[in-house]
Amino acid sequence: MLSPAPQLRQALHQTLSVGPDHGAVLALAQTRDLLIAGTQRGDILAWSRTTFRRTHAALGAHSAGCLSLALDAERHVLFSGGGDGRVRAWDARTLAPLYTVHAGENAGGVLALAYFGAMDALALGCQNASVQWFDVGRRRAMVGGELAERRSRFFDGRAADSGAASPDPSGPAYVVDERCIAAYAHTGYVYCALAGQLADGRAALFTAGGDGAVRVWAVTDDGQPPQQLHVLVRPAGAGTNDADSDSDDDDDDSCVHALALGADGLLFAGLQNGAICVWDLETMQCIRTLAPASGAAPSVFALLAAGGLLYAGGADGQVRVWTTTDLQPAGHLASVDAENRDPVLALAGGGGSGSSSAGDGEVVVGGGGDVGVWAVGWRDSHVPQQLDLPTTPGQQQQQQVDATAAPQDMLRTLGRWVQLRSVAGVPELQPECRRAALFLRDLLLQHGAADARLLAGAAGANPLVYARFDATSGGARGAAFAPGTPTVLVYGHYDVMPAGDSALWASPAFAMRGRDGHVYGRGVSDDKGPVLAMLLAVADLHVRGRLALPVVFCIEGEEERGSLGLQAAVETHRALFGAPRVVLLSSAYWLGERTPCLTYGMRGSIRATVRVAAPERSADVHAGVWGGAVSEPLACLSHVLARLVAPGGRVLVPGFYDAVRTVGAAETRAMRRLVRWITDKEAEAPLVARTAAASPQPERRKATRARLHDQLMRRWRFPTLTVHHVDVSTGAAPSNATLVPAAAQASLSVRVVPDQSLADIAAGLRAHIEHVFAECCAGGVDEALRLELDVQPVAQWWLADPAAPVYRLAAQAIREAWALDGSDGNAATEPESEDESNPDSDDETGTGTGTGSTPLLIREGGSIPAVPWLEAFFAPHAVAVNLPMGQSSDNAHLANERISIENLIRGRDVVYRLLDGIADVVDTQNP
Amino acid sequence: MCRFLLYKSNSPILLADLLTRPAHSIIMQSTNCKLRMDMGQSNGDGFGIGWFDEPRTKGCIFTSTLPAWSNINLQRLAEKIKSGLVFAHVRATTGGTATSETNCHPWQYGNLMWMHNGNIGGFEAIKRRLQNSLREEIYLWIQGTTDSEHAFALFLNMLDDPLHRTEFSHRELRQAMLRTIEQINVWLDEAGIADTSLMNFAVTDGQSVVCTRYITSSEREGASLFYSSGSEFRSEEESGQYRMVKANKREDVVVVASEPLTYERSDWMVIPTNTLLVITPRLNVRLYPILDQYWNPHRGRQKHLQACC
Repeated sequence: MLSPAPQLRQALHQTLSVGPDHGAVLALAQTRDLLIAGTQRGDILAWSRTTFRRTHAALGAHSAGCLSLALDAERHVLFSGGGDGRVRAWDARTLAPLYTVHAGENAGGVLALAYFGAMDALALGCQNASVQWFDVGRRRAMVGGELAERRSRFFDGRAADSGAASPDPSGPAYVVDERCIAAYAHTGYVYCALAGQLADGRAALFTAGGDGAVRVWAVTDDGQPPQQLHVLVRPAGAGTNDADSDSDDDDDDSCVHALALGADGLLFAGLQNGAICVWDLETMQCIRTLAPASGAAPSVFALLAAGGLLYAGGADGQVRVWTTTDLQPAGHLASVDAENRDPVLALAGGGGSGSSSAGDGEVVVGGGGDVGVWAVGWRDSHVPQQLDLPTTPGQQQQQQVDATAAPQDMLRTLGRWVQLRSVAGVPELQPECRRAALFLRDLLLQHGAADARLLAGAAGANPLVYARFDATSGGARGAAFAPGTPTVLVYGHYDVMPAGDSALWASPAFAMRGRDGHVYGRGVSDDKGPVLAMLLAVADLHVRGRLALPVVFCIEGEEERGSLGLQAAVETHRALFGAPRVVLLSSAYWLGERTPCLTYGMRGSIRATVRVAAPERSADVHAGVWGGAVSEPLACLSHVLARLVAPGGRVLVPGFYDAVRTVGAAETRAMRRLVRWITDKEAEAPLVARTAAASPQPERRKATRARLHDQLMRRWRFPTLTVHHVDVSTGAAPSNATLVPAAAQASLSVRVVPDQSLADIAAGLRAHIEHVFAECCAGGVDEALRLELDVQPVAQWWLADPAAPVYRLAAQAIREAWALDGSDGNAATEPESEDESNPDSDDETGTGTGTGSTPLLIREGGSIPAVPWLEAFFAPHAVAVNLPMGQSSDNAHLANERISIENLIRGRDVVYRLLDGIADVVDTQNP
Repeated sequence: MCRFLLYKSNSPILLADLLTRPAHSIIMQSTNCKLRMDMGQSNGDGFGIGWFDEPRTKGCIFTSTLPAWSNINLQRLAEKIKSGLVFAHVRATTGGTATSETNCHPWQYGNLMWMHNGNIGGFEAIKRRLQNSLREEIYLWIQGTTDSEHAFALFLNMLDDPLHRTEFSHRELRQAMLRTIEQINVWLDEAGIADTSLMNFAVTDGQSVVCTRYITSSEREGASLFYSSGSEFRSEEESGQYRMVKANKREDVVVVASEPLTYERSDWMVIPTNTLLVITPRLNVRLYPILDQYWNPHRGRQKHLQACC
């Protein structure tokens, strides 16, 4: 029985913007930590391979294009070759410049570089057809005047040289020795130089270029330049499409743009005419010519052999893939952007294992536009695919929990989860919600949960996902908790907001895409990404035997619809949750972009609908006929609404502000410190930038601070009332402005704060509306109006004590995970600065807001009903901790929702550290 | 001593972008050249431009005995004509030849076009001999009196039926070029000419280009010749300065010129003395040393020869 051909599994993992200032990417290299690109304008760009953020400002490396890169991995040296005829050496970790090597005179651009570790030497492929050899280890300082002899009568004779010659970079300079130059090594530009070895293990240099020839050179470590061993001959007309192709190799007109060496002694050459020639280095014979199955073959500009695969980047922007073992086509890297036809000019990466089964590799593709980072591997098509699930627990065991761990697994899983469009309340998407719940359940089981199952929610609503990880170091284990068993409850949600207007999304909302260190997609930040990060942190602790308490998960599917059914489900299954000491969630955002925050308070909310109807008529009537003789529901409703909020925003419901907690002096000071921090350190954050721009005197920081202070107090600290929309019952077209509607309604919400009572405010609101309505009706026309009022408390306000031990631990975990230097996050221990001459004592009211230190202690204006409810339900021990993972620019609920990869990685680390130390700060004894 | 320029590309360029607009355009080189061996600065004894529009068809040539800088027709044509293969030449007469249109470069014969920068020292001593060697139709075709046109005739004489063929392989053109130089050298030696000859020749069939930087000396440098290649030769939007854009690995444009057209040092490379440069139909640049009695890889200056290794 034939086994089916293996399939290439590939996904565009991350897209990195290069920016128009740098031009095309001409060369790529990867160190352990960095992804490095050389550009048309001569710059070197570097990204972190973990977070995909740019790690350095662009380095101006060459005055005319950075054409080639090579790496000395052992000594951590990066070499760049430029169109200016220079090679520059850089520290491959810090990208600090080390020295400059001038190629031989009139070399033109250094098109190719190959580094030989054993000899510590560098081969240069140059535009003037020469191959040059630079002995890095034995380099000697340049003799004065060596370059002076290269003065050009044309360029240097000019009195006012317009800076055409690039300024000499600082640092030592060297020059390639004349005796180490093989002039006319080729008769064309030497586009490729490759360090490798021959079948007998001897080190060899392979060069190729504009003359179509591939040459093999012996290299030795005695300081001598390479000696030519072979010229590899293509069979007559190999891979040429010309009918009139001349068999004389010298007259061949198909240059070689790329070389790659397979692990099994095969050399690949990518030709201008689109073919790839394959030589067996044992016999020095061309054994195959690979060409696209059909169509005109675009030039091959870049080759990469890695992980059993050969990648060929072409002039048409495609990367075609072959297997290197049996030289069979294995597909291509699917270009996301079909319009992107920039040629592929550089490939890097590989990684992965040599085995053809599970080898996951990374291929970096560069060219005219952005740099794409692809995750590739094999999919065994005969292995049944159920839910395409992430890493198995076995693999999990090998993972290191540190912030530098490769995030690919987490992101791949997140990508699959995001694909499931779990929008609650949309009937046709209910099955997808269920699939998203099942996906999570299976994920929990795979990561070591002792129990994971769906709990029924409200009728017609989505189920909740429950899971339990047993304690591994001391706490309770087993299927059932004794009453009062201490646990940690992780709360989150798998439902997401609707995508909204798809035209506003740069990429499809439910297909996760990575760009510039972020992943984009609906739910990546709210709340699937943070839930996944929490899950993986718990799984890591579990695998390492470091779970001091059982951890139970309650991940609901109706959060965006007000947590429908959550309370009933938890009440029904109370025994499954033990007695949570901590309710952990991550459903909040940083105040800015860079400073980690810890959220300890949220406002509560009440929703209301007010409907005013004329019960004696069911239909609209014509205003010309009936106007004046019938009552006006919309006018009445408008009166009611006008009496709810004054123009300045003050709520007019009697007694509304009575219970609002007084703002203490300490709280004001802490708020000032927070505002100062955020305006000083986060000037580009949307919040600060918008406030500064709106400030009447934008140049005055003080004015910005005052406005920001006021804004934050209004958002976090004070209650508010919002009229969301007003509607009429008219069945006529909106353009029909001649009708008196039979009914009108408005929806409102109130955000409440400590110590307002939800019930009191709801009752007060109800009474006030009824009162105003009655006033409106008094003295009206005959026809009575009816008021239909529905007031629903949705969420209690929530306020934790940020001085509580678990908050101190969380702050510590954040500081460690983000490597922040750190004083305690508590306001009291923060040294006073500037005008705060009066250090305050501990904020005993618990309302003390953020500090000048990190993480910033913040509150949010929004509401999450589950948080205060769970805290109350599992009282008296439960303390809720909201760990925001995302940045303020994450666009939750909006188009282009995103989350930074680094925030996910470090967020996971924060949770790990927090739970790792949880036994020290909570009562783990069963009372 | 003249100056010349040739351009080959996949995409046609407006002649003005080569001839008139760049900072050191061929027009500038006609009034103010910098690298003439005799230190003269003006090349005002006429000029010529030749260009091709389609492969395998004859090119067109426009010559004038006016100085290039004062010919208004050249300015007008340059603003309108686009071509992917251009020869341009400004002349300073040598050897007392007349300033006449028949003596202006380039010349064409069939599909082949030719120009020369330099002079064949003591050419009169071998002129009769050269003419005698030519096939009848080539001999009769000669209209002018210059060494340059005669060298072209000798080159044509090396090819089979050059009048009627529309294409030649670049190898064939290269070999004919080498044989032309070789034959001239033989005759010069036989005639006992001690003068140095400068033979910067350029020839094209409309698809391939072959040119040389050559001197009959193993010590001195030949007449200057530079080349530049990349994806596009155009002016930068901000500065108006012309640059050779190198947006990818492919060479889509090759320019060869007696003097660089711009002051962008990294855009221009010296063609080493006694080297033959080929631009293939697919725009691959080939460089071949001319390995004859004048070949000297250490030509020029005293080198530092300390141990490197």
